[in-house]
Amino acid sequence: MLEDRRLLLRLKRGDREALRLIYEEHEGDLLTLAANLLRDPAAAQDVVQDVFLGLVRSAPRLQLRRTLRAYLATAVANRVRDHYRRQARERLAPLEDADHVAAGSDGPVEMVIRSDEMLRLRAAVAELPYEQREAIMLHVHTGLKFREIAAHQEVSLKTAISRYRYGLDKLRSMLNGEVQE
Amino acid sequence: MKSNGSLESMLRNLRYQSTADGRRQTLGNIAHAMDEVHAHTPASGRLGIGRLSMKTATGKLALAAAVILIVLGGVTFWPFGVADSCKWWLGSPAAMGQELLTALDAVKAVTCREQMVFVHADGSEHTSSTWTRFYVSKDSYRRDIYDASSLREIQWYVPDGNDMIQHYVRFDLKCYGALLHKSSFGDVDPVERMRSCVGQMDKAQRLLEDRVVDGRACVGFEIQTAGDGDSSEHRTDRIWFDIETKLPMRIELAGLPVTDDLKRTVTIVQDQFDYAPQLPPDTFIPMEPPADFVNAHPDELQQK
Repeated sequence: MLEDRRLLLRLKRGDREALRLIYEEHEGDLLTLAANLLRDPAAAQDVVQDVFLGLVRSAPRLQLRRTLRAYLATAVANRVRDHYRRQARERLAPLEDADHVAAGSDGPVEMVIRSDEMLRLRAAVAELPYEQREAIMLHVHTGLKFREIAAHQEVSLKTAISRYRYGLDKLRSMLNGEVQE
Repeated sequence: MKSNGSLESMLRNLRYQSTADGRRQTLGNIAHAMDEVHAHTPASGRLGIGRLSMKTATGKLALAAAVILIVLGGVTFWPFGVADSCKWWLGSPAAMGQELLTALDAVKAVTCREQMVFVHADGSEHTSSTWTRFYVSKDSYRRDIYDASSLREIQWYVPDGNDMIQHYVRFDLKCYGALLHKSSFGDVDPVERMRSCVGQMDKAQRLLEDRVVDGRACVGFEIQTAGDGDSSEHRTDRIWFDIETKLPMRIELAGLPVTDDLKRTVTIVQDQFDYAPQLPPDTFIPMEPPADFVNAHPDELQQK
């Protein structure tokens, strides 16, 4: 946390090295989070860039009250929600269609491990209700605590934990028979 | 059937990465945006200095005078006028802790005030009317205990081999005496407390807002400490260091339990530090008690 504050202080002064350190520390996890939430890796890259742009623009006024990782992760999750809201408003491609985009070429963003098993898992994750998917991805990929997820989703701690557990149960059901213990 | 653990492990591997070129380009875009922000944001905004509202003629005159001083006299406003290379608190925690300990090692004598602030469940606070002034030298220690403005007791702690003799004079009970402590006074010595706090600097979670304490520009740190062993005590230590001397100027040990009262916690506050006190030569020599004082332990007299 203190290291985060130091980096943020340096960022406030326009220190490019601090920006590089923050970017390299968090970019991978944030991109993974966004890609898993959006089911559209190319759009995920735009979301991550937007989040970092937001960080440098708000840095002069930013008062960090939690870890930078938690701040950035919830910023990504918020932007993904905005993305879906905008899509719904503009009546663009229905959400299901996004899977076809993801299933094809990932463009500049790609899965780290592209095996049949991981592709099946990706497809199963894409089937989860959004709130469950978000709870799982925030916890697994950015280490957010359940109380932080609860605060982000504006639900009780119990609900956030339930969403996580139900999500895992559903994934297990979907994958059952295809992957062995 | 997948267990939660192996499923979570698989999910962790469901990772995405962008190409090196993509990352370089994105970082370049963000850096460019940051440069633009800095080109268009006044330094005061970047550094968190509040905007001054100059509505009165006096205010405008004061601002003009300040501008003239800055231009002609090169006045710098602590702490923001400090060159980055001098901001030791932005360095690595280990190096910073060592620097702070070195500063403490040089202290020959110090005086400070200690107060207890009771914090209730609803967040309200009550400062105890009893407070203490510490006088500490390399090998001796004295505490003057006050009730509001009235001196209630003086305690002198004088080394005796590996132990410590505590002499006391209670003015309210008109008694005096001496107690042998089978150890040093380290646990209540403010300098030792400072050492303990400084030793935890690498665990500091928060850099606090810059603050002026007793007229000195300070930088503060917050350290959350979990209780040892089975204790459920969770304490928050906040410590502010003089930017120039690197010596503590205010220490707060918050969240301490109050015996038999779960609804309250206590915060011990030490401030009014003086590291170059002009002390009379007899400061650490126990005084001769007045003739009408009795040699007795305060507990004996209070039970009567």
